[in-house]
Amino acid sequence: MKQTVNRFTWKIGGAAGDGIMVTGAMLAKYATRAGLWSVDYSEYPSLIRGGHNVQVVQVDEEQIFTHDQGNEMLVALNEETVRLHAAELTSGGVIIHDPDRLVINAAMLGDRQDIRLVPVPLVKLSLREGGKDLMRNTVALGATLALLDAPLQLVDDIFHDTFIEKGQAVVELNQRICRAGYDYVRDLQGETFPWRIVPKSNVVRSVIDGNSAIALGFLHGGLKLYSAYPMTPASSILMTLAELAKPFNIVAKHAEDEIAAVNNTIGAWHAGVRAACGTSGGGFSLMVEGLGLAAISETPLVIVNAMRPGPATGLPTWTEQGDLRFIMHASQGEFPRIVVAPGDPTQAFTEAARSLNLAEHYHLPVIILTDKYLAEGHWSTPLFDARAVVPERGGFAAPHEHQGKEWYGRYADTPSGVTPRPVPGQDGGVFIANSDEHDQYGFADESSANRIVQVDKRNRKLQSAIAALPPRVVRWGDADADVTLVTWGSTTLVCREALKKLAAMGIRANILQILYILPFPEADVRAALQEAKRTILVENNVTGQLGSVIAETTGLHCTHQFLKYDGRPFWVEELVDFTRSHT
Amino acid sequence: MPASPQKKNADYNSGHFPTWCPGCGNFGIWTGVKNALAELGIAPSQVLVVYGIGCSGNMSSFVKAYGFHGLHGRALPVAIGAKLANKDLKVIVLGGDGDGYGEGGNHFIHALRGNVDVTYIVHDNQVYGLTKGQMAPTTEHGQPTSSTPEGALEQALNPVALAIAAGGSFVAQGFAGDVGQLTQIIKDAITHPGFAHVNVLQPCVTFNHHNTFSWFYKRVYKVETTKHDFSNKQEAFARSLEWGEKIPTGLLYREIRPTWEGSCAELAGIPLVKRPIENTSIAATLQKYT
Repeated sequence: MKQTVNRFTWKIGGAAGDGIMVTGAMLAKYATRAGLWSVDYSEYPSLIRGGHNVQVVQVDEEQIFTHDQGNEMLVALNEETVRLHAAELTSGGVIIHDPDRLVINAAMLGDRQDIRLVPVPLVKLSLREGGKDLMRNTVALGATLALLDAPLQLVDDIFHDTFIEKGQAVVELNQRICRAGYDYVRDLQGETFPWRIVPKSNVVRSVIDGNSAIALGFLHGGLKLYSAYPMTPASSILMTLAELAKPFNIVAKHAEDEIAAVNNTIGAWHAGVRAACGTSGGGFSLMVEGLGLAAISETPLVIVNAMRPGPATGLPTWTEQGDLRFIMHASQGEFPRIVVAPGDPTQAFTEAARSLNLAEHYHLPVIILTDKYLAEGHWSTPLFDARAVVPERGGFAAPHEHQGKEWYGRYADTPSGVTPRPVPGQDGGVFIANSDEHDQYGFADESSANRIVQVDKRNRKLQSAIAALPPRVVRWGDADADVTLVTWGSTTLVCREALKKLAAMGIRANILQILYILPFPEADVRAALQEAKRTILVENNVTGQLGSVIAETTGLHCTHQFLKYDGRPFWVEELVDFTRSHT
Repeated sequence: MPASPQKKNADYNSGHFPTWCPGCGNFGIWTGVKNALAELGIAPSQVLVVYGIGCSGNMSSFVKAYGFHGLHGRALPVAIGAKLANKDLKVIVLGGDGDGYGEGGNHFIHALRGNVDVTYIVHDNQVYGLTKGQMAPTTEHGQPTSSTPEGALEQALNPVALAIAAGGSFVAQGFAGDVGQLTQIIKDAITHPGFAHVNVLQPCVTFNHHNTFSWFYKRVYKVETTKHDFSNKQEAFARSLEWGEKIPTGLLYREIRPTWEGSCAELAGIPLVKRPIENTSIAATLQKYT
């Protein structure tokens, strides 16, 4: 039988509360430690218990960016999983299930004859080894590894590293339960499974989600306070930082609402520390007045907006890129802001660290725009390079500029627009940070002349900040291509995956990723679009928001647009098909 | 804090004379705040005063100190963020009843629970002044206002009773017509280790013709002249409910309990603002993701 080595997709499905995410994470870690690349993606409804949850882990020898539609292994913890997902199985694929809990009949499989059932008494084995009902997932992981003929030692090490803080007994319990599933499948008489894992290199890589990447980027960048109110899909930034608060000696504050979160953050920046808040669109809506406050008081501010489909409560646990225009324009009045949309965990780490420098040096609000797909998916990722951004202080008034004064001209006009600021408590001239239009000391001033000076000064800061930005567009693929995919944020991932598949079909494609939405990289985008033979706009929204921004800034339109707005990320197959038929 | 030279009230004048109506109760609060800062010897650069939006917030232009004039209803979370960033900084919040009990009511409740060491002084004139005489959360039931010409349908909110019920560790009521007592209350509030709420009865001479100075003079009495035990929560709560014929002023309730910042292990030691931002190593944490 033909064997496919180091390339398969595994899916687990069950009810919310079945703990399936942990199992997928273990498999992703396994593959990554085996020197392979993994990506995982989960779908779950906004429920604590019940409902249908699935997690997909795809493994490859090459770096992969998103999963595809087919899959080779399905762990079914309930009947719904079989009914919904059996059709997706590749011919020769398996369903691992617990015969004591789930009897699978031909009708549930849609009469497919090319699927192999692997019944494993998941619960019984878990209980036999001293585990609990829920640890059946660990038995299923063992069964998975046995089918893949994958060495058990690697998973034993993962259990050790994951649970050693809880004690050796917990480590051994997990190892034993996993081995029970492994041995059970090994002892089954049956045909060889056509997919297998053969560990490769020893290169150390992480398996990390966008939210953790942002949390680590903030910590590297010198964050001292994070204030947030939980909202999917941003909540895990708060939870990660709360867990890391002690080792990093920072404060993670669960605020009473998002309005408090943004104002806590502004207060902390005003007092001199690096701070951030994070939320999704609904919470961002509440933060909008605070965004304007930061702008007019020239207080640095960093906000993460992890998008989910709206409006209002929308689809709380699904993905979309529907907030681009909202984030670009949110708040009454006109003022400059920086909006960065990372397209993978590495960019999320780097730009989160950089956002703290930018906000502090230029006294500007910086918004990090992600979405559920990037926030909660996990990718095998080379270890972050801390040298990519060096945290450096900036924008503060030195004692000699400030001491000996009664009042300090914190809003005095300057060529760069940036006026060095003292922090309250610093001995010297005082000032008022004012949400009213104000003069150089912060006193309310409604005169025409002052208004013009202050508006111009605030706007000038953005021009000054541009010099400190990295390239605001990222090009993926060869310069010479038949088609250019134009995108931003997490859809960059599916475009990168599509490049590989298109190349295999002989279609030369490349990608224009717009990393910095504001200040918009107009010249770069214009040049790229003018060079391109044809362009396809790829966005996870219904109106093609980036496309409209490109059109209004450059006067250019993409040749085609491929939009998706059902709450699901793009399948790479559908993007490849669209690209082929439009090239 | 280094010993400061003797301070006086005028040291905190900004040079801009207040734009309040002649006879406004805000003058009394302005004087009380400056007196308290002077008597405690807190220099203008050693304090951050965070203001809400309203007639009270306009004080931002009349006080010499580090100031932050934020959003309507949102002064408290700015103040709390600043205090957590620099726990050595004195932080005082000045706002109005509409600002703090209406728009910002949620922050008020949670600040009482949280007990971050911030002093919150509310100018309670029972009406909206800056927007011209609309109903406030503390407007008495049945009082006509420009937004309720037939009389307010809601019951008035009782700020001090709410503050005690919500877990306030320092709850006091002052009267803008008694600057001597008010100065002492503000000094006690500033030195209280925890969140200190001072509701100041502040007649609005332009829009509130019911709760006037003379109306208050007939009713207010000082709890310190009675046998009031401010450490007894039941007694304090009963006292806080008094309104109408007799209105209590002074310290109603106080308890000493750990502050938020004192209970947060990560805030032990030097303030966040003095901690270096460079050389934070994420390497060990990143290992856990491998």
